[in-house]
Amino acid sequence: MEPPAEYEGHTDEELVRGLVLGDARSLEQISVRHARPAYSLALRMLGDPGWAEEVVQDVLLRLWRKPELFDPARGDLRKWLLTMTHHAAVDGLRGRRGTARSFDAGPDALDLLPVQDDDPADSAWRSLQAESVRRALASLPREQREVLELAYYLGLSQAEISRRTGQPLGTVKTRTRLALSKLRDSLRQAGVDG
Amino acid sequence: MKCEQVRDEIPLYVLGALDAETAGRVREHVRTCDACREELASYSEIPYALNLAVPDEPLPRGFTTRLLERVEPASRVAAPVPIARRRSWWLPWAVAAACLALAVALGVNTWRVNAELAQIHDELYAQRDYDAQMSALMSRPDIVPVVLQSSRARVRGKVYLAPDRSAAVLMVSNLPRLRKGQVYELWLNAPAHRVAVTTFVPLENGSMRFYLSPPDGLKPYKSIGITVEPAGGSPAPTSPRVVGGEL
Repeated sequence: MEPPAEYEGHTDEELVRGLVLGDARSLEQISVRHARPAYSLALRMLGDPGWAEEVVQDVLLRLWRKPELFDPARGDLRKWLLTMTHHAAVDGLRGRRGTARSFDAGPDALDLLPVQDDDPADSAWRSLQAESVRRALASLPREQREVLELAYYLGLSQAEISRRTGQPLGTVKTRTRLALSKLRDSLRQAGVDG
Repeated sequence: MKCEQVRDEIPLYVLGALDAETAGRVREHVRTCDACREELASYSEIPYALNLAVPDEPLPRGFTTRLLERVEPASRVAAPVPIARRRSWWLPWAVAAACLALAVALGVNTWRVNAELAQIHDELYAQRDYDAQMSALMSRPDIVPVVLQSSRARVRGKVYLAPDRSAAVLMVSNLPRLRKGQVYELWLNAPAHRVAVTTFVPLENGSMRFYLSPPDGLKPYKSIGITVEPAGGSPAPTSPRVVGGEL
């Protein structure tokens, strides 16, 4: 199923305005444009294609039902969809583990920072960014990469990581800080710091 | 919390790995400390970077079809207060246009929505036509967004103006709940006169949308505003603007 060709030229903000008016073809175009990276993230986190599809569809349907949740002044649509997908997947994982949602969702915290400009249409730049991040992650010492991935992609608390890895809590925290600090510096060097 | 402690927690904060209480303390500190806010900002792209860094996977075949199957045609309309929502979209547009024509003919510069006119125009203006006009305006690439100002922190307002200022869509959200006997009133202000467009009570979630298409367009009007007024509306605003701005 392909959305009408004229929608290809619409900006994301125009498509979201279409959602406000109940235009399902706008949702279709948003899905065609942005569902794949969201699905890739959900699958990495959940490890189950069916569950990942459900989570991403739930995020898109949430946007459909409440398009005002997305504020274009706070960043681009893909970033928002990926953030929502991450939140939903973490919720799902914590729900399955029976962990209360007592953790603050990280990216929300950044709402108090100034908005950064970027070009939502530049997919080539995004691919480059993704590749740079993968390289930066791969360059981390194994034990640092492990705690970072457990925290971000599985939504584990520092205490849960400590239990899972058998490392003292203090060590887990130190490794997480080091990992993030190195990742930030690597991304800066690669020019992927926003 | 001291800066040193906050800086220690910032990486965990960015990852969402702090408990709510500690995260709250970090957030409070960062709001008032420029240096720590800068430190936080240095990590701001990390979550997005991690979101992008996962292996690229193809979407399952039929993903978008299945998504659209879950979109009930009336799901948006059937949200909590469906009638109010539909009426809120077209009432001010259809009735305002007709009332303004009437008011101009009578030499009066006030056009006000009331229930009787709403009923009459319900028959005259099909919802489909209204949606089509509003949709046509909102999907124009050259539409001009104007952000409105509010004295209330959470209230948002935005006007989408047709470039020729023939019509506009007004969207407001997070309007505070009204007390009994109060309504919101929408005003358009020209240099020499003011038009009371309509009184309204927002939807339960505090949002409201209007399609404004007066016969003489919006060119004569320099600003727009919403105030709280006694039920039935006022001939002139009696309280400060809740949200508004220059057009």
